[in-house]
Amino acid sequence: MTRFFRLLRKDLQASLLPLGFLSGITLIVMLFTRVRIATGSWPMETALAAVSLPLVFMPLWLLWQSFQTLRVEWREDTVYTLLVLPVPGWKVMLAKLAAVCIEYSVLLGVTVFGTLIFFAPQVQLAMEVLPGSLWAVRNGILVYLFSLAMLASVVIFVQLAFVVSRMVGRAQGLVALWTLFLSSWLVDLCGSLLAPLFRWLPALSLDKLFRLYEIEAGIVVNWRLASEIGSWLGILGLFVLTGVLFEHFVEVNG
Amino acid sequence: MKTRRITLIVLILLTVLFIVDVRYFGSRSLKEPSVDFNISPGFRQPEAHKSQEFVRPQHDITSLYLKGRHGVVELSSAEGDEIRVQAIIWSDREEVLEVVEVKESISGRELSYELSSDLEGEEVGLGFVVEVPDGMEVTVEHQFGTVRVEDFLGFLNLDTRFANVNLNDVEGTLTIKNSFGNLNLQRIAGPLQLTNAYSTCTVELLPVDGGYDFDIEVVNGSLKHNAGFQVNIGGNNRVGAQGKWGEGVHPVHIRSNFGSVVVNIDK
Amino acid sequence: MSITDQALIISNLRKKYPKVEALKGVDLALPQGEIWGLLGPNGSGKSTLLKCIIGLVKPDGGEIKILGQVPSRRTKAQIAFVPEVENLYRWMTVRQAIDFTASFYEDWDEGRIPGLLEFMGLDPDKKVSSLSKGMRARLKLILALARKAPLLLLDEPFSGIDPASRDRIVEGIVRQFKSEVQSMIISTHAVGDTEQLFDGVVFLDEGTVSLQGNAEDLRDQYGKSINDLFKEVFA
Repeated sequence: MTRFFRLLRKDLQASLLPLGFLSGITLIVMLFTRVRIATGSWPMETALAAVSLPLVFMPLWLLWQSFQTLRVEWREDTVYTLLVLPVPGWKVMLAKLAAVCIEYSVLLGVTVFGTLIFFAPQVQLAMEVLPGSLWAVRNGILVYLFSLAMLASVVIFVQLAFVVSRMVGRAQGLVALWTLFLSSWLVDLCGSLLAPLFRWLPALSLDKLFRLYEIEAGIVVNWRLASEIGSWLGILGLFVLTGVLFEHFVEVNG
Repeated sequence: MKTRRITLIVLILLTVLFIVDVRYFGSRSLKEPSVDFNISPGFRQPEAHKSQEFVRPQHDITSLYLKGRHGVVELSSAEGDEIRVQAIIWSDREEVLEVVEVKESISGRELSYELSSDLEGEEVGLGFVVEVPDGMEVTVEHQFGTVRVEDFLGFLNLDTRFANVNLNDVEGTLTIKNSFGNLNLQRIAGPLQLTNAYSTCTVELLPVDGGYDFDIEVVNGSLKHNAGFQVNIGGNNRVGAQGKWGEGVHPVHIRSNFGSVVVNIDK
Repeated sequence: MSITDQALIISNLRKKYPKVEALKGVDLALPQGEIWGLLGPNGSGKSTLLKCIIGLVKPDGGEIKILGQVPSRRTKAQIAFVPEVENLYRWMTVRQAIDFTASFYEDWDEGRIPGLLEFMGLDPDKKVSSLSKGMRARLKLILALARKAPLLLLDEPFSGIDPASRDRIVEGIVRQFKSEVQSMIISTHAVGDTEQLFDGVVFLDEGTVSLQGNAEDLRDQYGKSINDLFKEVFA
């Protein structure tokens, strides 16, 4: 595992600068919005739009980052170092995947921190109508884990698309986009085909976690695991495939 | 070259499979989604209900406490000295109705009505139709439903969440705490203390002798009134209005967060 | 010489890029304990041949045996490769680059590092991006020479660097190479005074081996230095 952590550390160190920049921008936008609210210059709608801006930008940046973290290895010829290392391809890919997930978590943490610091009165107000801080933390963690899983699956698609586009070598953008599309279809197909095998699994009901007060209001989530498990197995398969392709079939520039 | 050729062949094969899948198994994409999000489902259509009636002479009882949920609460003042409470219990299961009932209790000068047990996990609704003698103090705690108060004279305390509240022709002292539900107060006369969050609130006051002393503050929302004094715009998305209408005897104290407030005096 | 005496055996190796056939059936045998020069002009297929050995490009045909094994993750652990391109992470310091590489190889000899750093004149706290091209070439060589790898592949290690760095690199190779346990291939398109390094040479021309053999034998056979022979073959 030392080798994995060394790769992860390398990928994290490489993204320190953009991550710091984005965290700073997020906090600055929040601080600016806070000042505008305090001086009464902005109506609430404008303030909300301004605060949401980094949150809207974050998934796009993470997608770009998951693509960039591989692309930069080729652009700067460091792939010559990476491909000659005696490590399995999946470890290299997992390190990059983990790095993007950690970056997401850090950015989210900065956003939450900024919200608590700069918008304490508004947060306090929102907390008054929620069943309690424990409820907020529990559901916050649940939403975070769900979004992390979604992010991880998208990053795996991007990694496969990039590796396949390198293998083809021509019209790489087009090949990557088409591979992205095909892989999401394949995962969906896996989910459908394997669903009958997991029919015995009950739907995971998260309604109690999401209840507002003790009554049936708020968001009720019913998660049917049968087709989900098939899809996740498909995603796992694509991840393994990406690792194998990266280790055995990808080439440096000719 | 070999790798490139094989990769291209695999991509083309997958594309053909995709086309076949869409062409011949297109309905697969119409499968039910794996995750359902159901926002604010509310209370299911009740299957059964029962009612209990309580009639008590007022004697030395000065206040009435009602705790309901999901149902409708109707309150009015009536002539005479009797307190009449009809409690209606709703549930989607008959068995639940057999074990649940409304408990009446007296503590000092307060008479109260609420469900005998909480029945965790069961969906039980409780509404009231209430008539009280003039001048009584009535406290209503209610969530998820409707509260209607008409022709009431006395002291009224409301604590409502996720409920629509309609007051008509209410005279007396009003203390209202409300969140997530529209508040519509028509033809109100007397002192008013209102704390409101996440809802639209309309207050129409009757012109009374002595007039009103207004102190209104709205955070993250809008304020309109016709009392004739200025609305001040402050920091933190805060607007306020302070001033007197008439002699300013009856205080009207309104605090609102995330919602709009309209205050009119029926001149 | 038996198969086990060969550090590397290549048979009929072929590699085709979309516009050019880089290797057209290359045969090569590198005896253990020797340094061989892979010589040829630019575009003759030298880099492609080394990339095939380490696994950076996939051959279209032929066979490669590294210490008796086909190329795999295991053979990667046995090869120290110095590519022609700048493969270092520029945001790393010299120390970080050393630590990063060290953590992947069991044959890493940390004891060699202080001596190598001093000999090559490198400051471990300096960022890779702040080093000159010659200094970066020295660092790449340190990362290869600090290992006790049985096979070293150096792709154009003298290309485009200043004479001082070139001399240091040559001296570094001579000092650190352990002929009892190591073998080495150095590819270059300019033989010059590096000729003395080579026990054997392979002349690669447009993807085919035009000449190969023991350096001393070739000198005797043609009555010329390898440098002169190179100039004559590729004139």
